[in-house]
Amino acid sequence: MPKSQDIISPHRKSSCKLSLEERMRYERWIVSTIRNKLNALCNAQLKSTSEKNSGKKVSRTSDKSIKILTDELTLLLKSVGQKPKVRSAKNIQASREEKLMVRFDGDGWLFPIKQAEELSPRYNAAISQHALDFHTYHSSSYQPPQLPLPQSYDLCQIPIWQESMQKFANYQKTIPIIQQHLSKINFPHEHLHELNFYDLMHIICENVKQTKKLPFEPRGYSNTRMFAACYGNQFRRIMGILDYTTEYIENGLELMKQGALPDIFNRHHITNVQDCKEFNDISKTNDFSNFSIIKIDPIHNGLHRPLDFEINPSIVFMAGYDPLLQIFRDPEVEQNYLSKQSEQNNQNQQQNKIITEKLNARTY
Amino acid sequence: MQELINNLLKTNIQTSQGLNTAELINYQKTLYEKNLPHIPKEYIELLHHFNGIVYNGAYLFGINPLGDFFLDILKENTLFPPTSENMLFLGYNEYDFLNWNQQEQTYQIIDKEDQEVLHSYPDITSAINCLLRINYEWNI
Repeated sequence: MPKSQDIISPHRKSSCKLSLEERMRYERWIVSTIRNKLNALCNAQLKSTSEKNSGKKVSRTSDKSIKILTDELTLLLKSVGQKPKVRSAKNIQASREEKLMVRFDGDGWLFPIKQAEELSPRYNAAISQHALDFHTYHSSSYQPPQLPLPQSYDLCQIPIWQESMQKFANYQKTIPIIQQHLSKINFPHEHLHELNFYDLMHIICENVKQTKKLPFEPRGYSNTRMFAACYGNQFRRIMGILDYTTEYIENGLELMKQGALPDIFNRHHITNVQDCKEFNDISKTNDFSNFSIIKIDPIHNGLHRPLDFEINPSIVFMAGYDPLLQIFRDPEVEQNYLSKQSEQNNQNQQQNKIITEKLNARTY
Repeated sequence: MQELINNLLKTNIQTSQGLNTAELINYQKTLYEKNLPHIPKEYIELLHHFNGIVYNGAYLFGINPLGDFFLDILKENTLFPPTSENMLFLGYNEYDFLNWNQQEQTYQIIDKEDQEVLHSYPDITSAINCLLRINYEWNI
């Protein structure tokens, strides 16, 4: 444990008098203290739960130690600049569909859909009919129906699309996929309003199964790439202070450039997915401004369990409690990156257009 | 189960050496003393091969009471106590816990924040693929 004169919060002006070595000593002390107190608090909670489960009266010491440890931890976390999570008065919990929608936009993982329970009866009937038609096509004098044009399907007639899905840039990219699928199964236009979230996800899943690729880059990946491009040098500096090898740091950065993360870090939503309704537009949950990368042990664990704390929204990277181990957002750097990206996208689009025109000219 | 093990070996997971039967029996006793459910049979089989897995920001717990990288079943269940005595957390990722529900004999993917059950699986393979975000079928 550091001597009493060393325990000076790095958030105070006096911290500038501390050497790097002293600050790191303080950091190690605070990390180990938080870890120990978290363990002690959880053991006390387990004891209390065990007593309740076994029908015994919960001892006063268990309850008292839980309270004391919670207070101590709260004070410790507050002393290093953390704040308890304050949920807004209008806090409305997100529905299962909304949570899955935000998650798929963020990580692109296709969750299983229970066909019989979750798909709408109309959509289920349409895909069953389509499968039946497909089997009878070659075996009889079956005449395939005239299929409607994909563009004739106006997705805005689907309530969940109109309410939320259309606000996500990534789901906008799935419009042609959904329209083509609806046309393929000859889905009746007049029943578009009966389609639900799971029907649309089923269409996207079917497309992924066929093409073996996602129709968009998940936001979590693009945010990680943006972090590596904007804050790569600061990441190197901090990981160097924490004594990670150059090889580990460079490999980690390489992973980030591809959208993945080294295993000691976690993608963190500042306003979490469950509270996505705090945004007027839930698609903002996966924005870079709500994204940060946090070291899992003990920082991420200390924030979430068993206490509920939130990090400063201006922090984009947190590998420790000392501000020296944190990266603060730089709007200018982020704006430059976004401008470059948009220029590059425009160039790619133009090139694609030229290639398509040349191909068309060759065909006719 | 063998298919799951083979697939995990092919995947770029980080893991530590599997456990022997004696270590697992002793640990089961400790869980019993703490009023926690037993580790399910299939998960024990997995622990024989992999004592904890880290992949893509997701963790499967093992028996690592002193470890700070591979996580420990008891420690994690103490850190974040499940809401019911029939529940045992076996892993987590960014959003969810992998829970063994002893009463229903199912593996559940439950939301970390509100503990809503999002998916239930009778078999461990689908549950682990769901937690680790692996789509072997689609090769993504």
